[in-house]
Amino acid sequence: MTSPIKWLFLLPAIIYLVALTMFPLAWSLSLAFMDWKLTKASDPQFVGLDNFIRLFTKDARFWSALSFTAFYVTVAAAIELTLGLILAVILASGIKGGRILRVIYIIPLAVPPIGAAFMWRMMLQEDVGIVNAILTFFGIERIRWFTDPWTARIGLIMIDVWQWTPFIFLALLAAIRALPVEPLEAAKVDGASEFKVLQKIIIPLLKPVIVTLVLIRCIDAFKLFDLVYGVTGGGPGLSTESASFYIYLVGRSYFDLGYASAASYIMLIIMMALSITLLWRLRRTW
Amino acid sequence: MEVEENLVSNSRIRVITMQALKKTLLILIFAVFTFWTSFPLIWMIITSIKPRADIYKLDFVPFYQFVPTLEHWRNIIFSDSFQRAFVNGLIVASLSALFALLLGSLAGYGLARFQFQRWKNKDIATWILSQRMLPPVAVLIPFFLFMRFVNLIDTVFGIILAHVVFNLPLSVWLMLDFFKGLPPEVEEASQVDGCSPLQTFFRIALPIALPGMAAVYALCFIFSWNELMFMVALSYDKAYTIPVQVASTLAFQQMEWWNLAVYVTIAVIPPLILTLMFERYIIRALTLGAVKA
Amino acid sequence: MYIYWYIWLFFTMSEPKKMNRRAILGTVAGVIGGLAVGAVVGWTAKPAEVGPVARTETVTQTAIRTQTVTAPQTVTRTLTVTGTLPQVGLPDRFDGVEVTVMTQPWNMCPVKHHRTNWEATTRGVVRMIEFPYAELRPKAMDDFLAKAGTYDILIFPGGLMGDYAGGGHLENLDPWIERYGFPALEDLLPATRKVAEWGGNLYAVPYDGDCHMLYYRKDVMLNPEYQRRFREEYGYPMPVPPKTWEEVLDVAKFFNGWDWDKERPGETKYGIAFIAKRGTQAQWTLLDLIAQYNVIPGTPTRYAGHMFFDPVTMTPLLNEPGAVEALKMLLELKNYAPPGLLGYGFAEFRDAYVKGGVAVLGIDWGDVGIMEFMDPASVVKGKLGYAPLPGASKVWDRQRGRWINKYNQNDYGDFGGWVMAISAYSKKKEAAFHLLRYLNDPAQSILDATGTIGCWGSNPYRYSHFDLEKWVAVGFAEDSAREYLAVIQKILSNPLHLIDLKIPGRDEYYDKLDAHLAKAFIGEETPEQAMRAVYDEWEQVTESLGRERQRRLYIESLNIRV
Repeated sequence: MTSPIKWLFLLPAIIYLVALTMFPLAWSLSLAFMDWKLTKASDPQFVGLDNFIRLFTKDARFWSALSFTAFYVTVAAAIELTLGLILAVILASGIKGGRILRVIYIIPLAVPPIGAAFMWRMMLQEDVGIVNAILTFFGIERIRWFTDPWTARIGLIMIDVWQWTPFIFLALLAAIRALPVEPLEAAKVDGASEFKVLQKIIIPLLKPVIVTLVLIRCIDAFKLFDLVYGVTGGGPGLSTESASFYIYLVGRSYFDLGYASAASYIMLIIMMALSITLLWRLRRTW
Repeated sequence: MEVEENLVSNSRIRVITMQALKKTLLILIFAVFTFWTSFPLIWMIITSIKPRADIYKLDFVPFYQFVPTLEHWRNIIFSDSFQRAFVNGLIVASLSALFALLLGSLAGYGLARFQFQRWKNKDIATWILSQRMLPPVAVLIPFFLFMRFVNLIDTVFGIILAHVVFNLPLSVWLMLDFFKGLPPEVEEASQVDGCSPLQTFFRIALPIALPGMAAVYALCFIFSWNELMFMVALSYDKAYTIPVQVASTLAFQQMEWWNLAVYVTIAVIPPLILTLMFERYIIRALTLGAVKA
Repeated sequence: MYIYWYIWLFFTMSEPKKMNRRAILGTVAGVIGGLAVGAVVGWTAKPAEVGPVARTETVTQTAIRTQTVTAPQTVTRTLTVTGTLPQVGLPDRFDGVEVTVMTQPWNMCPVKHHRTNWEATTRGVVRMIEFPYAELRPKAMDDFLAKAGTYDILIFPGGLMGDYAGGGHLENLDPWIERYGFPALEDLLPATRKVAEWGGNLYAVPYDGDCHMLYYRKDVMLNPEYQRRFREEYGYPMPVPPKTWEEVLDVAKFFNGWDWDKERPGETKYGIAFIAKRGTQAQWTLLDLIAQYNVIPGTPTRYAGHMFFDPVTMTPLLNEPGAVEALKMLLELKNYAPPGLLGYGFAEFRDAYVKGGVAVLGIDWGDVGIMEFMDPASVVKGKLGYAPLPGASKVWDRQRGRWINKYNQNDYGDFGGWVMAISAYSKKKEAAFHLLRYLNDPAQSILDATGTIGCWGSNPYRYSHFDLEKWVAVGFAEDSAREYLAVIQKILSNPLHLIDLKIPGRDEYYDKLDAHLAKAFIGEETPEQAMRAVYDEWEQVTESLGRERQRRLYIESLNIRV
């Protein structure tokens, strides 16, 4: 009796996703086996695994882009989580926030990523930017943001941290405040130190939330594009070129559609592998 | 006796000073974090009211250090392209969030309340969430070709379709989770009373879930409002939104920082209003979610 | 279960209160509905665009057209242009015909201005589509691929002629011009005309003349005290302006690292600045030097007059010793530039040079000269001198495989400026041609080039644009304007001017060059390694696009005699 009706709930979403993502994806998979370059003025040709072979044997740039992306994801997520957790734990008991503070913490999320990128590009300008001006005011050496590969990488991560730490902080704060009160009070009665309480009670209880947050941050950070596009253009050298950015260049600037599809498939597979491990953990917490 | 008393009061003072110190430290950390988070936007607002000649000066205080001007604001707010982008953005974001929410809560409810045999519920849910992991570049080109095939390029409707695609997985996932947290007893009672599952969904489950839906709606709205890559690929001169305008401030000749500042400031407003509007009701709803039994 | 903490982020820090379900329901529905309805109403309530018919303004166009324009005094040639057109056969009225123009916002400005008149006289309608710069080419290619003809007129960087005209997507304008006439073709500067040509035919018309030039702070370089010290240190008088890159190096070295204008106390200033950021336009700075060290001037033949490929074998010329030498020189110059140089895209460079006054020498397009006077934040108003690109003291002779030790200088049109063309898939070619001709007409275009109508989208591309009075009228100092225009005119009217790369795949070639230049800048590759790598990657690109076709197009695009 309920059997047909239950599909009524599910099918609209399934059909929608199949039509509008699986179909393009399948199309793009077929492109991955083609040699199709728009600048060449010839029709697509089937070339088998050529694109993939080229990707694995000749294209060091793709792999360096991928490893930078991985580095970025790991470091950014780690910093955001640590900072967010520390702040949330410290502030959970301490200060009552008003409405205005919540508004302030939403702001970074509400800024369009491309706007955030340009904004920071303006503020990080070496000679006339506000950040270096503030540093000079405090007697600190100007930072050459986009001259050295490492400062540039760290600069990008810094922007990511700016945009996402408040989010992690708010989510963790909510989680901490919603924790059951009994174990905490029992621990207090037993005279456990605050650090012990944190280590033995709060963090284990928060673990599922943390896993979720990390998962979501990793998935989104892995798509890193707007910041590279808006702030560094991939430089200095190729030190901040992300996988998405490189694929975008190949697809929309070189117009090598076949090759771009092949590269994006590799990226997709890597991303899947990364997230499925995390997804399995998630499913266990259900 | 005296000595003992002294000791006691000493330790009490120590405790009090320690607490005061701790409090100060907390406030300090908090203040630094708040400053760090809000400074870029404050700087944007300052930049947006500076005369062009002063943009590179490190002045902070209007009237005192520089003469504020609303010139950039006027230029942008009264331009056709901005008004169009803003209205488009509202339409696209509100409708695409609505569609995503509708489809998402249906599917979420289905997955939470029924058992699917051939594929397990968990598999379906995982499959749906995995859609969110797609790098947008991977589907961009086929998606563009498809949209042109069905003649939806540069229409608000086409953009809405695209935005629903990447908001739907999140919406399904969150709604599923939300329905799971709600007690099924009330719905079971209504089914005993002879309501069909659809009626139960719309009359009983949906109203209870509204707070959760509001949150999902807000989130989808923000993602859609800020999305750039699909936007640029699928719009020409009719269906563009604010992020496209932001991207255009990087002209070939120079960067129009002042316009950027205005756009960023404006772009932040609708998501903020939305959040503030929904806030109160959702917090109340939390209590409802907690009442299980 | 826990995942929804993630969405509670908005609602965390206050106390839960008692809820009222009806209130939630009402408000939430109200808000969603309100947003949607409000948006729709706001959209439809927008005043409908006033059709051109409703306009009653008088047309003053004919009055402007017969005006006489003189070139500035620095040039001996005086040119009279009359804009009267032979109107043979081309209709004058296009009632309700919608012509779509596509470009980036900055370059749309003149169109926005001139369309009013055009619409009033022809009763046609101009639809303007703007994209961010990075999207121009993808959008056009998408349209060409579908043969959709969404855009009738495209305004685009001349370097894309290979992709557009070479791919057969543009209308050959020569038959049109022959049939319907065109205002003062001989008035076009030779270099800009060459950019717009493909295989000897005009497939486009210029819209913006562009070339790199050398800027210098004349207030600083003409300081007698500094001149004396320079002579003492380097043994020759301060070259104002420097004629070779070796002199540029000396000047940059001399002025680097101290405060030479004392405008703000305690500032360190630098010798030279240029665009060096990855992913912007750094490769053109390098090509400025390669043009001097690696190219023998002359009409294009196998061994002279062009700089990218050997027209016989289609192998890149960028790992020749001259190109390596050029890169070495550029890396040397980097030492006398502001420490943040690698962060200088065009936006940052212009901010630093014009609004920050950080360096004595600067290399850029004509835009800096305009910003000098027109940007309210400019700190160098009237202080800049202008010069053609410096030459080199030696040049590599590829044919004989040896250095020729004599002064060598080439003018080179970096980027190639913007051109305006009609899509081959346009369904309204007559109206499009009419509008194109109208926009290019000296009577209109002089207003764009001189900024009279407040647009800085196009730099001069006709002899008649060098009308000094018009430039002074908008706020240029007379001496500066004369010097500035003379330099541009010298570069763009040089018949041996080197044309920028414009074969298909140009963006890919240039991106690879830029990538290895970026690596050389941070010391990840030596100059030799970098240029070798560019050579290899360019070979790959050529191979993937078809060597024979690329060779043919290269020869065609530059009119090389092999």
